[in-house]
Amino acid sequence: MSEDWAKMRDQWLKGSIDKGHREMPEKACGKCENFRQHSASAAGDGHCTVIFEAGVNKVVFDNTDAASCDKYKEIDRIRTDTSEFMWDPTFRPQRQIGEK
Amino acid sequence: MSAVEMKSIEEIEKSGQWWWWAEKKRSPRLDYLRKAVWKKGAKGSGYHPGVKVDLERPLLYTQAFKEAEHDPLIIRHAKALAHVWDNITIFIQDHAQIMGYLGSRPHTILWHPEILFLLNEDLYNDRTVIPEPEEESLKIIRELCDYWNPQTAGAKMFALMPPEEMVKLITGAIGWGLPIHRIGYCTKQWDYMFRLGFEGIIAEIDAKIADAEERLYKRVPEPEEYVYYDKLDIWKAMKITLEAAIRWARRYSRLAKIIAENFETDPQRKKELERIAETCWKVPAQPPEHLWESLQFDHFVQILTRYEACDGAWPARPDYWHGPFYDKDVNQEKNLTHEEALDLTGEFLIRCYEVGWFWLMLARDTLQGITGTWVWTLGGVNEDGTDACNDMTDCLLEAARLVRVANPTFAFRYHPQVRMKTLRNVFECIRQGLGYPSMRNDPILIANAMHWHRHPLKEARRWVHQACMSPCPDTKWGAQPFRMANATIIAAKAMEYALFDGFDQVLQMQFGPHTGDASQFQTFEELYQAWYTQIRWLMDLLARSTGAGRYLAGKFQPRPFLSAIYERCVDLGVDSAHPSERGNSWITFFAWMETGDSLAAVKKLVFDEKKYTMAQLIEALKANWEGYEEMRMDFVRAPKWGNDDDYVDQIHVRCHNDVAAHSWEIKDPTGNPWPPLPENIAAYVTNATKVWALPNGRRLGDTLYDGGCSPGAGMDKKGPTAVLRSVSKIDHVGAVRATLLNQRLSPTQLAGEKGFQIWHSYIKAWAELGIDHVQFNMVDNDTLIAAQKEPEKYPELIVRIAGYSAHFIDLNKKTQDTIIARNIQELGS
Ligand code: SF4
Repeated sequence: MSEDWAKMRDQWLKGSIDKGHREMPEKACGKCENFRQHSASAAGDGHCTVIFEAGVNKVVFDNTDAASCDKYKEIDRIRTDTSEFMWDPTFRPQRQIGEK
Repeated sequence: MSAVEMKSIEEIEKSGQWWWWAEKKRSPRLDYLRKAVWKKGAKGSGYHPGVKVDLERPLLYTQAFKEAEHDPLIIRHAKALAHVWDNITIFIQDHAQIMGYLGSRPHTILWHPEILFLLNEDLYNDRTVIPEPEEESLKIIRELCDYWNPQTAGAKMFALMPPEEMVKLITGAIGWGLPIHRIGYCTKQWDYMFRLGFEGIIAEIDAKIADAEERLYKRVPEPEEYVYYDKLDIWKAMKITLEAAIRWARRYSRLAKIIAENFETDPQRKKELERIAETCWKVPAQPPEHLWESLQFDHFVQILTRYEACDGAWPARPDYWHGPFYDKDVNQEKNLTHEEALDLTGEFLIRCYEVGWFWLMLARDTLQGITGTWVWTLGGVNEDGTDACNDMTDCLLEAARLVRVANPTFAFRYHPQVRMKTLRNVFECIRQGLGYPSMRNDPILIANAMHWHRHPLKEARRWVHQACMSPCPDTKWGAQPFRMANATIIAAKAMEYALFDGFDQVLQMQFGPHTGDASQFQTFEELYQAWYTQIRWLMDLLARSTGAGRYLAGKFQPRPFLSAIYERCVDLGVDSAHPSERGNSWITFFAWMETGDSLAAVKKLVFDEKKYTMAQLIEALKANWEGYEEMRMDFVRAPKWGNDDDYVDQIHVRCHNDVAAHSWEIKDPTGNPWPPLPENIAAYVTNATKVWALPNGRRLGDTLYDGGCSPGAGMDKKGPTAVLRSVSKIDHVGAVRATLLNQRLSPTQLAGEKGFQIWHSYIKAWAELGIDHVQFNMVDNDTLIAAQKEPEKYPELIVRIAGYSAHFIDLNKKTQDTIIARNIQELGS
């Protein structure tokens, strides 16, 4: 189990460091209901709540391409400026975004 | 004619729109400076338009750090800092009398790329703060990220942590902040700096260096003396930064002189510039002798430490340290009028307010409207126990009402001998809707500091707020050079985990230890013990990682300048991270009071009245109460904290006492316990989406309770006395490091002299009950709702959040709504 956590950590560390000023794909994890952003950062790091790899949740990022994911479920989002935290579905109630 | 000109002072007083009053009352200079300031706190969680990140500091720092690659690490950081101070652009604002800005232009915020790779990537991905030309700036930022990311303090720290713990921390689901000492709260030791000035400290360091060289180079050292090789590097690095700091201040001196001699045509301003030139030449090199020098010294030091790293808090006791200079200049020697002192003091507050840096989303969100929890301490007692209030206390309170900044805010150390003139002044700030000062019960907190951290009485009496709540003496052995913010737990998660066998319902991961299937629990005690296991696990995890961060900080990224301004560090030849001070750790408990209310509701409805089974409760909670509204309302109506009801209050007291007992079982690197400190800043809003549904009737997404011991919004149904009685059942010396009580009062009830008398009686009752803290909002709902609709008309409307204040219009709507939802208490009911 500890190896799985290590794998998750390494994927996340690598992803966080590599992530750059890139475009958000049309279908992206950050727009999916199953995505949970890691709130210690705003660089879009997070994990998937429904897909597991080696026993732990799959590490994904807000701009991870979800074109081929069959569990993708788009969230309702509001149009907003950057004073609102728009990507994390768990933030919807905070942002007064109505549930589906 | 402007709206201000049309309204008389009386009309403004009546309407409660005190910001218009302030605009009319303050001097033209203060008015100019107040309006010229750029807001650096986030609005919601994004920076205000026009605020840009400053690239001069990171570029200069990196350049010198690279060039010094063969030097010891602490010398490299010292040289990097010195290079910044020698070269960064400086400016003097029109009408300003206090110099020193964190950045090269008034609209810029600082970025420290050496702290945390997450922060760096956050910046690289930000769409608002990148300076023009954007493409070029992004290229520079990318290069800096690539250089610093792998060697940031964060990367070094994370590489050492057990992977499981690191992942859990980084999700932000159980705690707040990260174990990195470059994001700290530094209580400064002013008696040392004001006594010696930087030149005096350098002289002490020179003597230490000479002594070390004697031991190492002039004879064969004793085995225990080889450590002087390390100390030598530290002292040399300290000296590099102190000398550079003096040079930086003198650059302001030269600039003021150049403007005065060559450009200034107004003779009055010319004279001011000449005085600025003299002041900046003198301080911080030498001890201050006048109020304008002591304020300038203070501000320079605050800016200098923030060039080195992020100081998330701003511990200060400005009336205590500047009071003697005020007395000398205004009362005795008449070098200044009170109005001139007021102008200086008002600017001193504005200079603090304008400080900002690029901050993680996590922090921007949780500290909406401000840069950090900059709570300045006023009042209290002297070392001999006599009242410490002085004319500078009054001057600061008066200045605060004129400039109405959201940062710094004040906290007032109340004690029975406090002088009435000052207390009235405190009340006036609260009555004018500033939301501060918060009131602190001085005798209780002195006893508390002695109880938890063994501070001797005389030193305990010197306490300041290390952050928004925790008292820390500003003495040689008491001053804590930094406190890493990450020993903060989201305590309500322990309740969630106790109900779901350690499984995190929001993140869908196993987080806490397995404590059993709660649907099978047969007794209340089983649930309570499951919760106690979970909360201890949380406390241990945060204490462990923070302790490691503290222990390793000096090795990863030493702080030569911060170390140089502590007598302890200069004496011992150690980095500020060295755990040789008396210690002042605590674990902040966000979302704490939900626990007792949840446990009480389960005890009553499941185990006492047997109206529901545990299995039914777990089903309803799993569904986030959806489809169980009638049942949820039963849980909402169950006994709640804040109504002087022993059924629920005693459960809260038991929880407090049990976590306090555990805090003695875990030690920090200084050998001290980790006492709990319940409070919330704006995390009661941001954490609303991280804590699953709870048995107090709360659903995922509902805001959490706003204080550390405040009742839930609308749950205190029996008036303010019942709230105080409930809160007084907690042992405010032995069960908590401090705790936070929010109260809303009615502005109409507290008008005039009668209002003061009512409030004063309340404060006396509060103090006698032994409660350590209370803070007030005194703005009515009509005003708040009007400000939501027309924010441009309410620019300086301030509200107290929880541990800090903010301009109402800088909060997101949900946070604004939570302020409106708090019960307004009629005192005397
Ligand atoms: S379900 Fe697919 S698209 Fe959604 S977060 Fe998981 S991996 Fe990304």
